[in-house]
Amino acid sequence: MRTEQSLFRQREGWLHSNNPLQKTTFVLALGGIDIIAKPEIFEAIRMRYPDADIILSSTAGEIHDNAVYDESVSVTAIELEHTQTRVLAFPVTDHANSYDCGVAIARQLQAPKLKHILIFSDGHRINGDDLIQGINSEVGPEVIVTGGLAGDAGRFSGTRVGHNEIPVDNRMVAIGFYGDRLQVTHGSQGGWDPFGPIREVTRSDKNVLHELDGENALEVYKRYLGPRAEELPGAALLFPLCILNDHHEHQLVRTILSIDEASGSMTFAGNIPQGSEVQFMMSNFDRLVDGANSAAVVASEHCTDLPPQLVLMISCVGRKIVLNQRVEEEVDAVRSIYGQQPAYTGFYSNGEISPSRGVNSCALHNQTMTITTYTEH
Amino acid sequence: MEDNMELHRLLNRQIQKHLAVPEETMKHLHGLLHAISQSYVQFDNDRVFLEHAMMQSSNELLSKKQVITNLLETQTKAIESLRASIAGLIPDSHLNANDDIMAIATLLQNEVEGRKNAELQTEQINKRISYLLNSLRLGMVEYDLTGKIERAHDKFYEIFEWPSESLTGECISSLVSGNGEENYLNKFLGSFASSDGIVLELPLATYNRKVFWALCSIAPVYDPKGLRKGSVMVVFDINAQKNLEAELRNERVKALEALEIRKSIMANVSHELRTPLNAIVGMSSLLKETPLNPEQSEYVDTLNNSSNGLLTLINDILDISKIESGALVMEKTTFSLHQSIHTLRKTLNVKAQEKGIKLRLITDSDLHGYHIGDPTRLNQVVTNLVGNAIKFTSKGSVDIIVELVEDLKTDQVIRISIRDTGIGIPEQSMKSIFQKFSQADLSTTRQFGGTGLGLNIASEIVQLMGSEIKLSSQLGSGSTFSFTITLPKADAPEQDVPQVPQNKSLEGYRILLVDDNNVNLFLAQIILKKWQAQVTTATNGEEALKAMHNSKFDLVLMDLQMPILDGFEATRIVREELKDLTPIIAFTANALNSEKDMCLSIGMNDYLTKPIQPDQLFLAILRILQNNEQLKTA
Repeated sequence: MRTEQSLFRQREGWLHSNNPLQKTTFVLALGGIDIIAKPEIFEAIRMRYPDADIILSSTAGEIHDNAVYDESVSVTAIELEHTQTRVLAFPVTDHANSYDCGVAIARQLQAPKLKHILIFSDGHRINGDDLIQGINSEVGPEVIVTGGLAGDAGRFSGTRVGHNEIPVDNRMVAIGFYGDRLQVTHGSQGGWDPFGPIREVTRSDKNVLHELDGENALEVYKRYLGPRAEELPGAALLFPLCILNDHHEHQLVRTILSIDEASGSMTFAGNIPQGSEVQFMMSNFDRLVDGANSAAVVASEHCTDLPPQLVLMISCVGRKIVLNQRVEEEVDAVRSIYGQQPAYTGFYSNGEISPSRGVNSCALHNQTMTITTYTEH
Repeated sequence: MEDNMELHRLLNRQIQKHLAVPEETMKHLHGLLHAISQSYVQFDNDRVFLEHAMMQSSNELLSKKQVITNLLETQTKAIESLRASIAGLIPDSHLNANDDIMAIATLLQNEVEGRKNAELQTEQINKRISYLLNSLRLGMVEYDLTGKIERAHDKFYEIFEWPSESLTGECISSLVSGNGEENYLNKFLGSFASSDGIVLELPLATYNRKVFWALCSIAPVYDPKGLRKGSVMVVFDINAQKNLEAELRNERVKALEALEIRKSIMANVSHELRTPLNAIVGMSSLLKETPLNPEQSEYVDTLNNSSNGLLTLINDILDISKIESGALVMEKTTFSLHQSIHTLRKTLNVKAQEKGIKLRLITDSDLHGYHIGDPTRLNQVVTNLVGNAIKFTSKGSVDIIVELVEDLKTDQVIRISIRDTGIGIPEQSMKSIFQKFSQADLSTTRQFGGTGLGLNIASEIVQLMGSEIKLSSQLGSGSTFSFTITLPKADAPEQDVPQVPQNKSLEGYRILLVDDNNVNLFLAQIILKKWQAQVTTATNGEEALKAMHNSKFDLVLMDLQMPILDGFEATRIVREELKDLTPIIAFTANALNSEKDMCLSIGMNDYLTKPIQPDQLFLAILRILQNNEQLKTA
C-alpha cells in the first residue's frame, strides 16, 4: 500500500505531498460542507487521479496529518497492491428505510475474501442504527465494518456524499475490501461521563425522541443549556444521551442530528427506544483526549508487528465543540501511538461506525474517536 | 481578523501589567492575543455553562430527592399501617419496628403461602366430606338462627330434588312437612333452642312437596367467639324403612287380632267341652258313691278314668294355648315345697304300686319351710315328669330327689330330679321329646299312649320359672330329668291351709247357686246338699238378683257366661248398686287367668273352675265362710 496526500485550503490552494502513485486504487476526499460540493474541487481531484474511484464526503472538520482544519479538503490517494476493492453508491431514498439500505450494501458487496466494509453515509436523514443492523443481518463478525456519517459543521441541515461525482444529499457510499494481505484494525472510545438524574424515555419513535420522564425532551435540553440554548441543535452535542442497560451500565451514546421546534422533538443519530433509561453525559478536554488515546491503543492491540500504513480517524462533531481550540490534541494523542510513519486522515462526523467493544458485530457510535488502521503485507 | 475586537478583560490587565512593548509590536501580536483572549472567553463560557448545568442537575436532583423523601414518608406511613394491619391479621407475626418492607413482604408471602395451603387443605377436607356425605347418602345443610339456609351440600339437593344452588336463603322449616301433624314441625323448631345435638325422625318435603321420612341429626353451630350462629342438619332418607315398619306394625296388629280371636275360641271351646265333661265327671263320682255291684263298679271306674283322661287332655290343650298366647303367668304365693311334693308322691304312688315299682322321695333336710312360687305349676311339672317316669318304667324304681344347691340369704337354689330305671331315651330323640306332640318313638304312642303334650308344657313352664329341664339318659337303663329353680324364702303363713275334714258339713248355711246349665246346676246342687247346705238355684243373673233381694244368703256360687244377665254384670250390680257384700265365688268353665283377675277386680271373693272338684269347692267355701264368721265375731 502506498498513499499520497493533498490538502486544499481556500487561501493557500492545493498543497500536495508529492509522493506520486503508480496506480491509484481509490481516493478519499473529506471536505467542509461549503467547499466539498464545489465542481472545481471534484475536477481537480479527477484530473490528478483519472482512473481511481473517488469518494467524497462533507465533514464538520477535516483531520489531515497532524492538524484539524475547517472548510478545507483533505485528499488521500491509496494504491493497494494485493487487495481488490469494490465501491457502491446509491441514494438512500432508493430503499424504504435505513435497514434495507444496510441489507442492500451487504448483499452487493458479499463475495469471497470480503475483509472489510468502509461506509460513508448521508449524516442527516439516515438512521445509523437501522443501517448497521441491516448490514449485520447479512455479514458475520469476520468482516470488519467501520465508517461514519457525513458532517455539516454542526449545522444539522444537510450533508454531502459522492462517488466519482460532485457529492450530493442523501447519498450512500460503501467500499468493499477483498484479499488476505490487508490488515484492518479498529478502536473506538468516548471519554464522556454520565451525570444528573437517570431519566426514562416516556415517548419516542425509533430515533425521534419526544419525552423524557413525561417532559418535553427539547425543553429539558433547553433548560440545561441555559443561555446556549440559542445554539441548538449544535449545542445539544454538549449533552449526549447515554442509553443504560438493565444493570444501569453505560451502554451506548446517542447524539443529536436535528431538532423540530414545532413538535418539540429531537432526532438522534441512532434509536432511542421508548421505555429505556437514559442519562445526560458531559466531558472535558482531558477525558476526550484520553479517549482518543485509548481508541488508538485498542486499535494497535489488534495490529501484528507491522505498523499501520494508513490511519483513518472519524471523530464526533460533539468532541470538536468541547475541545475547541485544543481539538488537535486528540489527533496528537493518536499520533503518539502510531508515530510519524502512517498517513493520517479523517473527519469530524455526525456518527461513527465500528464494532462494539466486546461485541464483534458493528454498531453506530456517537461522541467517540473511531480509528481504523490499514496495512498491506 | 477584526482589529476593533475587544480582548478579554483579564488579558487586557495582564498585557498592561506585564507586556511593555511599543504600539507597533502590539500590532504584530494581535492574532496571538486574540486567540488567547478567545481561550479565556471559552474557558469562562464553559465554566458558566457547566455551572449552569450543574445547578440544573442539582436542582433537579434536589426536587427528585424531595419527591423521594415524600414518597419515603408516605411509604413509611404505609408500612406502619401495614405493620399494624398485619399485627391484627396475623397475631403471631412478631414484626418489630426495624423490619423493613422486605421483611413484611416475606412475611406476607409466607402468610399467603400458608393460607393457600390451608385453603388447599380445607378444599381437600371439604372434598372428602362431600365424598363421604355422598357415599353415605347423607344430606347436609347449614342454616342460621332464623332458619335461613346458608349452604347445602350436593346430596342434600339430590335428596330434596331441588335445582342446584337454589336453596341458599330458603327457610329450612319449609322443608319440614307438617304431614298434617303440627307436632313434627314443633319438634323440629325445638332444635333451634336446644344446645345439644338431637336426632329426630321427621316427615320432610321435596321440591315438589313429595313427603318422605328421614332421620335428622341436628347440632348447633357456634362462631369462633362461642356464640350460637345456627345449626347443621344431616338428613338420612329412611322412607323405605318407615314403610316397612308400618307394614310390620299392621301385620302385628293383624296377628294380635288373630291371637285374640283364637284365645276367645279357645275359651269358648274349653267352656263348651268342660260343661258336659263336668257333668260326666260329677255324675260318675256321684254314681260311684251309690251302692253298686262289682260289675257296675268296674264300669263306673272305667267311666271315671276315661273322663279324667279327657279332662287332662283338655287341660293340656288349654295350657298350650295359654303358653302360646303368653297368658300363662306364674303366681307368687307362699307354699311348702316339702308338703307339696309329699302330697304329690302320695297321689302318684298309687299308680307306681299298680305297676309294681317303687316311688321314692328324697328331700334335703336343709330345705326352708316355705317358699314363694307357683305350687300349682310346680306340681304340674313334677307330676308330669313322675307320671312319665312311671309310665316308661316297668321294673325298678322312680326317685324324686329334691336337693338344696345353694342356700342364699333370701333365696334357695333347688334342684328337683326325677330318676327312673326305665327304657331310656335314644340320644337322637333327647331334644325332640320336648317338642309338641313328640314322643321318643312313634311306637311309644302305641305302647304307652299319651298325647305328647305334657313334656312340652312342663318344659315351657320351667322356662317361665327361669330354668330349663335337663335330661341325661342311657338307653335301656333309665333316664334322669332335672331342673334347678331359685325360690325366695318365705315365712310360715299365719293361717295354715285348711285341711279337708273327714266329715264335710255346711249345715245351716244358705247358698245361692247360679248357672244356666241344668246339668251343672243339678250336679252342684247334689254335692252341696250332701254337705247339708240350704241351696237356692237361679239360671241367670237376673234371677240371682231377685233371689238375693228376697232372701239373705251366706254365699253365692256364680257362673259367668249366662244369658239375660251374665255373672260379671250381676256381681257389679250387687256390689255397686245394692252395696251387698255377700261373698260371691266365680264358678266357670273357662280357665283363663285374665278372667280370674277380672272376677276379683269387680269384687268377687274367689274363683273356681269347672268341672267341680268337690274337695276344692268345699275348701273354698269353707275358707270364705270362716273368714266371714271371723269378721262377724270381730
